[in-house]
Amino acid sequence: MTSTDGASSQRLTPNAQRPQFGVSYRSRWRADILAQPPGLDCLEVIAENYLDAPPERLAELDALRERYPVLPHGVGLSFGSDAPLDPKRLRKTAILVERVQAPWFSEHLAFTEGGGLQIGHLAPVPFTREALAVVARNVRQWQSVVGVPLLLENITYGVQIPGDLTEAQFITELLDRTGCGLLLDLHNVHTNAVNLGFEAEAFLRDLPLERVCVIHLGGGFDEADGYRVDSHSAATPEPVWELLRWIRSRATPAAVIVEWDVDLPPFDVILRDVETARSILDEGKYGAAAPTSRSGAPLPG
Amino acid sequence: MALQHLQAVLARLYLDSAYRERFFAGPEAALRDEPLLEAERSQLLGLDQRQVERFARSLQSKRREAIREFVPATAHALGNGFRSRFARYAEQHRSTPEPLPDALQFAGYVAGQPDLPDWPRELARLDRLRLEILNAVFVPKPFPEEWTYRTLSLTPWARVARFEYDLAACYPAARVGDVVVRREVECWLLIGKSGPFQVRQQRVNEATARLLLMCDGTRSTSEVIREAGAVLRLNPPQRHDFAREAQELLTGLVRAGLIAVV
Repeated sequence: MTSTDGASSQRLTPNAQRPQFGVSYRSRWRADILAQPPGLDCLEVIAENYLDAPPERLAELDALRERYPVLPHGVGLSFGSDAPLDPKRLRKTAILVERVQAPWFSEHLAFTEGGGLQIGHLAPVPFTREALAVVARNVRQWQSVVGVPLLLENITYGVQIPGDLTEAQFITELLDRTGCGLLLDLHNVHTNAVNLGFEAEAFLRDLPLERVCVIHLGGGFDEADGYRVDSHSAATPEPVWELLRWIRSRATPAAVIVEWDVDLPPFDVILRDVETARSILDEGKYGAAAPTSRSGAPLPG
Repeated sequence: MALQHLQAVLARLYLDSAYRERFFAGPEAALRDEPLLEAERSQLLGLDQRQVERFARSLQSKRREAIREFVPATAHALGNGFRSRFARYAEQHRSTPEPLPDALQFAGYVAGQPDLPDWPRELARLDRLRLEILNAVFVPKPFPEEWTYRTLSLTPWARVARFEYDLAACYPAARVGDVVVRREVECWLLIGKSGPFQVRQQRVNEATARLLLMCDGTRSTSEVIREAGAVLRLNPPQRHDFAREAQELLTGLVRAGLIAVV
């Protein structure tokens, strides 16, 4: 993945290289992961776990970094809030990024607080020009403090707020305006398609797939009335594998990450999803060279 | 700026069930005094109630399940009442950016609920003390060479507390939801950090508990041992043995980072 220096001109354009495959780190799997099983190339970590961490948690992070590229993934910066990003949190994030030598940092296209209230999870932004300007402004603030490319992730949205843009238009314009990359969560796409009644592939067709830098995979469950919940509590389901097959000739991500947050299975279960993802992309005959770090050197592992 | 006001209303709709009910009963009236532009007002009037209600439920569910992970014994003890108790807590207490402080607050809330029986309240108290220790950011100093005349203080990694049930025996089973034989007998516990991300509790007798509680930053080692011995009304030979055992205990706890030499 290449990026240029300078906040205003950072553009993320993944090159056609073989992606690295990883999981979102959970401490329950610590021993398995530290043993460096075959097929695990990288780790995504929740950034908030390390911003004010006790020494032992930072030591654990360092041990992970010795063995894998570590990709910090934030959940609480609230890029979608009509308020400046918390400067203290930004500085701590910059320190974390430096500590793990991250090639990029990812967050969500969402807001997590409004009117002084912590929502406690990712809430959808309205797809309006005003919201576009707000997110772009927050991204610029980010770019002035943290020196690595930013990826923004599409979320599930249980609430549709009337707006003047579609989600795909919003994402496209935002990435174009800011130079950010896209972290494409395919289970979120599938979940929204089921719940809101649109065709997932049609949605993907409208996205700037050349800007996909990371793909997220994962599973959830269906409630009794058919409503899909993105709970990150199950294996990746077949419709999401289908989306991965569909996208493999249209996007060249640098990393593919499998997420599993609750009801954690033994590690070999999630590793199976990683292997499946790799075999699907290999079937599509991905390119040969390894993705590069921000310094241009190959990512270790 | 209008987006800010829109998001403030959305946040309230997601979190405040009374406001949500009032809004969907009469949205225009509910928004009358909100500083919104017509476009934002129109967006809010276009919200689907079912979607908002479902999202609100999911937010509470996520918050509840995140907290359950941190207070498993409390959750098991509350049983089917955990959900409703949490719902009441959530209406009164704002969510925190991280779940651990929220869980700490919830455990404290449960421990203070007068309508609950003692059993879940005692477990909540223990869960809360354990979480306080887990949440503490503390770096112990190296073991000092000479500390007999320096003051001792329990560190943020340690708590000493008395419980109405034998939680030393019951807590492991209570934590995983196994059947628990509740022995209603006074139990003093030393709760302390036992490793990275680990907290352990062990039973101590009352004399030991009182000795440890004297490590409050105002007494030196020799004063702690002397005063604890005096409370026990030990004769001189007993006092000699007691002093030796107390010194060993305190030394071990200093090495473990549970007592600081100030």
